[in-house]
Amino acid sequence: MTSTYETLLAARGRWAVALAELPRSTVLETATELAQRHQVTPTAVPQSGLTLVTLRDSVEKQAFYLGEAPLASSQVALTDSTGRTVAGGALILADDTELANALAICDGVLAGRLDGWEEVATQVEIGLERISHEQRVRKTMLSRSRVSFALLNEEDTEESNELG
Amino acid sequence: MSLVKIAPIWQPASQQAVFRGLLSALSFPGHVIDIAEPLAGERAALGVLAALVDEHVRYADPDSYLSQTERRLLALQEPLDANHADYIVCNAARAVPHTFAPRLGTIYRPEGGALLILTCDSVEHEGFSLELSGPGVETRTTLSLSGVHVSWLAARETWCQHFPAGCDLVFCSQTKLAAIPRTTRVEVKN
Repeated sequence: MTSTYETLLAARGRWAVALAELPRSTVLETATELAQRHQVTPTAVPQSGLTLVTLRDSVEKQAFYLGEAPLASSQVALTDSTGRTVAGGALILADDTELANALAICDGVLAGRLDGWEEVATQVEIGLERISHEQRVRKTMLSRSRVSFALLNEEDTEESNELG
Repeated sequence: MSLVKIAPIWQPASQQAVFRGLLSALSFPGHVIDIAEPLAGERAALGVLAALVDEHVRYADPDSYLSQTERRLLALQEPLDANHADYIVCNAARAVPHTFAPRLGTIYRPEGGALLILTCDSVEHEGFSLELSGPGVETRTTLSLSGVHVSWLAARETWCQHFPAGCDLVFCSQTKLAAIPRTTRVEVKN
């Protein structure tokens, strides 16, 4: 792990996104190992299904339904061997309860720094690095494909001068 | 193997089985329905709640029947005053509180009547017997209740006197349930 824990904690809202960048099997393996070390109790029934995505139009600011998106949620309480209990949760855009459970366990372990948190932190860092790399690539693609319409305006002006 | 172990009562298959049992109980007043299998060790009243309620319903729990964990698993909001709730869980061994006036609906909106889930010791033995008649009962049938304060039956007479407005009662022991919908005529035998 290269970042400090405080840096990672500040990015807690992106932990699930970062872990979801890794292969599903890797996340499930890590969570299974953590679930063997700590007692996992659900605090809400894990659910998966469809959710309506609500947006507001930019002119009238009226709410409208863009469509449906798959959603899975999980909330757990993790208790370690010393009896310390922490909470973990995950809400992901996928119809995959098991992955949501795994992410909730990882979230709880890392947030509460329970035994095994370093492994999760390393995986989160890898995920965040992948997201950052992908964003850089996209930014480069965007800047390379940018079109300058200024030249078209100049051509129009030249043509109109010639006709005039 | 699932990472998070969820008791059967919180899973769709069990909830559907409990719902089926509840439907049978309401369709055939006085019939005792055993729901021990889908409950898998949990209490019948909790099973009924798990099958019926979610975060959108108005419920009341004046006797604190549910634990904090169970409330979270049921995804319930904060409980309301019993007089404004659609689902009310009560300990039937206690007398009906004087201020208790459940929602009864109206002649135009009878579905607004509350469902009372009453926890008791037994729906089969001892206590007192009720003779039931009306829709869902071929002639007459007997229901024996134990751990039920008689004031609930007296109050029900008042609540259901302006049919179709009224409320429905579901008596739950540990693993069994029996229902007395508002359509049923009840006589206390002893």
